[in-house]
This record gives sequence, structure tokens and C-alpha cells, in this order.
Amino acid sequence: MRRVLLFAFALVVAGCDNQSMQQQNRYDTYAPSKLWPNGSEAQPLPAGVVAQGDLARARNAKEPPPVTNSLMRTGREDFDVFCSPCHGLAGDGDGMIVQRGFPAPPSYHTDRLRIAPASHFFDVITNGYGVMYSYAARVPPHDRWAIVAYIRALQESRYAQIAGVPRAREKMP
Amino acid sequence: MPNDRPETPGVATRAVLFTAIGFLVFIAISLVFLRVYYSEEIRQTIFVPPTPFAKPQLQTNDVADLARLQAEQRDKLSRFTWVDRERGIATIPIDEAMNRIVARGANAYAPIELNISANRPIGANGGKSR
Ligand code: HEC
Repeated sequence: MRRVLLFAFALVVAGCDNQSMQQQNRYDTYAPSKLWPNGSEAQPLPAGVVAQGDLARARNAKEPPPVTNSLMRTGREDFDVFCSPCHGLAGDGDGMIVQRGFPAPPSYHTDRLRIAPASHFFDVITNGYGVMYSYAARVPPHDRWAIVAYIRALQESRYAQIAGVPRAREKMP
Repeated sequence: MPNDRPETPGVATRAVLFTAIGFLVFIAISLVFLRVYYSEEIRQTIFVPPTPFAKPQLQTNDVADLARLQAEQRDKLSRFTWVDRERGIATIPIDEAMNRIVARGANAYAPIELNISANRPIGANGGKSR
């Protein structure tokens, strides 16, 4: 009988622990810690450290990929997704966000942006420009170049020299 | 052969067996008890459906507004229209323009050399964007 009672007691005691996983043996974010010399759980990156893929990204940023049909399609897709809410599908700077009060971006069809070098567009996507924020975290370098190529297509579409092009005049109204 | 039978183990097999079986029986009883308890206690599932709250009324029909705006902008990208008939400058559909940029090959990223403003050189609007 004593043994049975002891056994039952042990079972009941085992139920007393708070097993809700709220309290765990770990550091909270930015908690103090005696483990490191700077006394904090959060450690800064050692000097000279780079993220995985950084070098490849830097290389891609420097070398524009050749403009092919598929790159152009990527550019169109990405432009429509990331840029058109503000810049408009045709690049006039009249997207829905602007209709609703965001500062209007300049049209891509101005003289200034028509003669701007491709690197300018790339840099604007990478670093942002004025009130426009950076898209570096959302658009990888290869796709940034694709968007730049598509912006050139938008500019070509608006004002194209079709004098020397055979059959072009037939299509005109 | 007096001693060829295996030695009896020095463990109280019975006690171990009873403990194990007792444990299993305890679990089984607990499960049955909890099952009965819950089915008695919980009459209906407590599920509060999420209550959607009204969107801010800035547009009467935002989906239609966006569709209309995008249709206008797509339309702009699908037309042939003259800009300057004498100089052969026109607006062309975007697919055509994409092909033309691809066809420039190594030059594809370069600015498009085309003076659209008839009477002033490119960039002569004092840096203003429009
Ligand atoms: C949230 C709205 C918004 C989005 C999305 C956006 N832009 Fe902009 N963009 C702006 C605004 C506003 C300006 C004008 C900034 C200023 O002059 O302060 C601008 C300016 C620019 C300029 C002109 C810089 C110059 O020299 O005047 C370029 C090029 C540009 N954006 C490209 C892009 C591209 C490419 C994307 C897509 C990856 C994009 N933008 C997405 C709002 C946006």
C-alpha cells in the first residue's frame, strides 16, 4: 500500500511543472550576458564579414546582362510589379499611389531622363532617389538591369524614329 | 549437469512489470477520464469568427478605379500615333519598342539618340523634369 501511495504521489508531483514552453533556457533579444566581453547577448559582425552571395551580387551589379527577349520580359514584369504603382504602366509618373496623394515622380519621357545613362536608373533603383525609397532589398541586380532595359523600351515606345523603318508607316493611322 | 540452467536475474521482474503496466493503465484511465470530462464540459466549440472592419472610404470602388487606370495606361502602350509626321517620330506599341531595344544588341542600354523637342537641343529645359 505504501508503495502504491508513493507511486501516486510521484505521478501527481510530475504534473506540477509548467511545461508551457514559455520559460526556456535561452537569451532574449539584447539580453545581458556574461558570456561575451561586451556583456550583451547580441554580437556585432566581425570586421570584414560579408553576406553569402554578396560578391556575386556586386559582380552582377557591375556587368549589365545582354538584353535579350527574355530579359526584356522579366523587366516588363518587374516594372509592372514594383514601379508601376507610382510611375504608371507607361512611365508617365501617374500611378495609383500618386493619384492618391504620393508625390508624383517625373515622367520617363522628359529630355533629361531620356539622355540619362543606364547606370543612373540602376543607381536610383539601388539607392532610392529623393522621396523614392531603395528597391535594393526587393529587386536583385540582374532584375534591376532588366527593369532598366524595359525603361528604355518605354522611352522608345513613346518617341520612336520610324522614318527609316519599312512597313512602319503602313500601320500608322 | 547440476548447474546449467540460466541464473535468475537479480532484478525484481515483477515489480518492474507491475510499475510499467500500472503506468499504462494510469494513462489509459486518464485518457478515458479526460475524454469524458471534455465531452461533458465543452458543449460547443468556442470559435469566434474574425470580424472584418470597414475599409477607409476614400474611393467608392477601388478595384474598378485601378482597373480603369491600368486599362488607360495599357491602352497608351498599345497604339501607333504620330508625334511629328514630318520628322517621322511616332508613338509605337510597347511590344514593338521592346523588340527594337533588343535589336540594338550591345547598345541596348544606351540613351535613345532622338531629338524630340524640335526647336531646342535635348536637355535644354534647364534640368526641369517636365
Ligand atoms: C512609392 C512610389 C514609387 C515607386 C514604387 C517607385 N518610384 Fe521611382 N520615384 C518615385 C518618386 C516620388 C520619384 C521622384 C523623387 C524625387 O524627385 O524626390 C521617383 C523618381 C524616380 C526616377 C527619376 C530619378 C531622377 O533622376 O529624377 C527613376 C529613374 C525612378 N524613380 C525609377 C524607379 C524604378 C525603376 C522603380 C521600380 C523598381 C521605381 N522608381 C519605383 C516614386 C516611386
